[in-house]
Amino acid sequence: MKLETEFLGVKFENPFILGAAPSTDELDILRRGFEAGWAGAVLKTTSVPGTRVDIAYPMLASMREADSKLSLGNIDLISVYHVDEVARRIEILRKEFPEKVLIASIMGASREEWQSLVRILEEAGADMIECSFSCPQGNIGEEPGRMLAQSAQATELVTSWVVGARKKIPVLIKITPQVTDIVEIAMAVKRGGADGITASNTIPALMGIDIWSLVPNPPVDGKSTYSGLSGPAIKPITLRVIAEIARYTGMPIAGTGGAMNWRDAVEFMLVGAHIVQFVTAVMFHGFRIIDDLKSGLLYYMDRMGFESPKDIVGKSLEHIVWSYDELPLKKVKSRIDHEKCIGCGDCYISCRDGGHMAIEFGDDRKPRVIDERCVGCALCKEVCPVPGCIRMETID
Amino acid sequence: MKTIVLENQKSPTFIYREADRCLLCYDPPCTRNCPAHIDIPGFIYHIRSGNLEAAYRKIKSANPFADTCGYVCPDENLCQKECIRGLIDEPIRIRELHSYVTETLGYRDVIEPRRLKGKKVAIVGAGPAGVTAALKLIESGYEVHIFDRREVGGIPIAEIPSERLPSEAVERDIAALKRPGIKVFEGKEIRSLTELEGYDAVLLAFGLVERGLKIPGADLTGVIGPKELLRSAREKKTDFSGKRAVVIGGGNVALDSAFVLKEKGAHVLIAYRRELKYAPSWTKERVLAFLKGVEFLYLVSPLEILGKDRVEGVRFVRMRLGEADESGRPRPVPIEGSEFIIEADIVVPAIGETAPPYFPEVERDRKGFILVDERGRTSKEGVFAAGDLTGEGGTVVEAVAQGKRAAHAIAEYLGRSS
Repeated sequence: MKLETEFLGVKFENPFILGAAPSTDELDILRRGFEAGWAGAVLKTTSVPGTRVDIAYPMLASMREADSKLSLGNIDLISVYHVDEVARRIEILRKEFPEKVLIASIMGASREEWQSLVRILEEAGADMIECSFSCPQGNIGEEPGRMLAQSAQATELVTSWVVGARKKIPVLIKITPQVTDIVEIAMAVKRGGADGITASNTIPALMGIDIWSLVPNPPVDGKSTYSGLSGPAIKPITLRVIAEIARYTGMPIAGTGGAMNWRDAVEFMLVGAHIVQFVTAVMFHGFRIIDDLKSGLLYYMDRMGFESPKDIVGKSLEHIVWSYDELPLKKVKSRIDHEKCIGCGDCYISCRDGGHMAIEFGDDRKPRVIDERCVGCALCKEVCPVPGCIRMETID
Repeated sequence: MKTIVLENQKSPTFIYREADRCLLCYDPPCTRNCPAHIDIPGFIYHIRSGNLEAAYRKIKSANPFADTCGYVCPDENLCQKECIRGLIDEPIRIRELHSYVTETLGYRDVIEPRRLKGKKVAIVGAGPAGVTAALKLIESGYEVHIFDRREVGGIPIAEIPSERLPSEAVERDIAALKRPGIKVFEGKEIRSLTELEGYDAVLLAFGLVERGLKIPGADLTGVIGPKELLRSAREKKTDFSGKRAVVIGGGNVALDSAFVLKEKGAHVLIAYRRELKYAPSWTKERVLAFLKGVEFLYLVSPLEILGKDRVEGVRFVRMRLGEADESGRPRPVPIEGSEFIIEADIVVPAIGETAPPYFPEVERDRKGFILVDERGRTSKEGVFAAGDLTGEGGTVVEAVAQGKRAAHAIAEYLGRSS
């Protein structure tokens, strides 16, 4: 019960839901996700009947180093199921899972399309509408290939259409991090009258190239295209986007983009997310990770003395200053614990060639900081393989 | 040693994860503890980046017997011994990374010959030390004639059990000899400098002979020297099924002999005069022997091999440990009245080796090994020595290191005298 939270007036049994993805496109898969303990799901983005959806396969490519998967990229499109079918499924799920939060994701190409999608899905029993303003196909006709959320004007206009068509369910706008000024877009969402923002989305990327065949990944019969990059690699970008929106608009936020575990989710919440959507983590490890998410969050809340997930929201914002000028300027020096040091010399090499030549390496295999040269950059601490061996000391 | 790894891991996933674990230390202890001084972090970084060709060149140019060492190098005792990663979790499995590279790439020629300078070196013995020296000398521009009383390849090709070291690996190593400037004379035994007129320098790099047991019955049929045993093992038809074998000794040759006997069907007992912890063999090998069903008897010493015309048994006496001897280990002392008999059909005395008494022109140490200085020079000018016959080392990689050292000294000697 302690994990229960509320977002845009809707009750969530915990702050973890499934984001729009291939896995939220099928009834049987969604059923298993709910049974596993996820609080809700954003169904894969749907469209009006007649919209062409031609997905090229393979549509996934990962970026990996040795054994660890650093991120995933996809060239997926919206659901091949149109709104009538998705509405039918929402009706079924509504009956089977009255406690779960059902969020319908939509994408239209005109005022009529957007508005009819909202009406049909609200009627079917969706708890919320999430508007995908970050699909490359989802423009309003004037600039093909450009995302809606890359134009403040279009964002405000389409938001107002959607809001104008709903009876009472909350409207979320899903934006893209791929803009010059995220705050400008978020303000447009606010002016358009949306209730919240989903921040953010995958990031346009080229997933890598097979240097022997010269074809980028994923290879589709000798061709490829730009993928939406997701997973651990984009988490720092998502954190910045959520933080900026929270700080400047105060809008309620559903965080998504790179959260792989409960610690990532807590970080999203600390900069302003109320709930967190998971996609890549589930694609890598399955629905079962919900157990760890829930118990991890509980552990965190108990240890920190938080009563509700809401208590976490925005707690780190006061520790972020918005320009370099506001940072405290104090003298900092590296301090190496010779008890913990294993003598690998990695700090020595990094400081010698990538820092300030401020570390000496002794015949006893112990590195020593030359205080007069150390500027306190922390490169040594970052490359040290032993946790807690090097710390940065403020000396005035 | 934290763990004993008995099986080699070879999957690319394992290899790349292992390469990723390497801390790429500054002044790396692994390279310092590698007698051939392979740039280990250097080749591991190449593995990480998918540059196996460069990794191979780094390994093979530092160690011409890299393919062989990929199988037999005692990594726990050398490169891996002080691996700094071991202070965090487990040492990097360096030999497996090394052999992944050599096995994946097969044979590549990494020798960079110089134009010949018109001087000629004779090398006696074509084992790891001799072959290494030959390759390093050709890189310095010296012509080489290399002689061996048997075939090229030395102990690796003849006396290491083939299940531990496939012949193909050794053949890839010695294939580098086939090049202009190196002449190989197999089946040619040289025993004195007088047979080597006309050479500008001589390198002695031949193998050892067994000491043999000096107890009654040592000449009975059924007493087999380990060299003969190990050589015979490479022939498929050897069969010891149902035989009871006693191997005497505590070194790796004793263990190799035990492995071979076991492999060929015998029931095997290793008898060692101290406690096993003092045995010079490697722990991993002893564990392997134990797992293969080899029995151990320790704190015993043979007094007599029994039998009319064939071996029927061994009379042992029990030992206790006394004061430390010059090796730093406690000296074994016989316990009076503790004699007992073990029935046996085969006895393999693996109690040590020494250099054969050839080349009377050079000085030897008390144990019969050829005396060399820190650069591999013997007492006679222009004559160098490398490998087991110096009494140092005993592993392939140490022989390689000595071969490199001697080649370096020879090149310097010939460069000066020109």
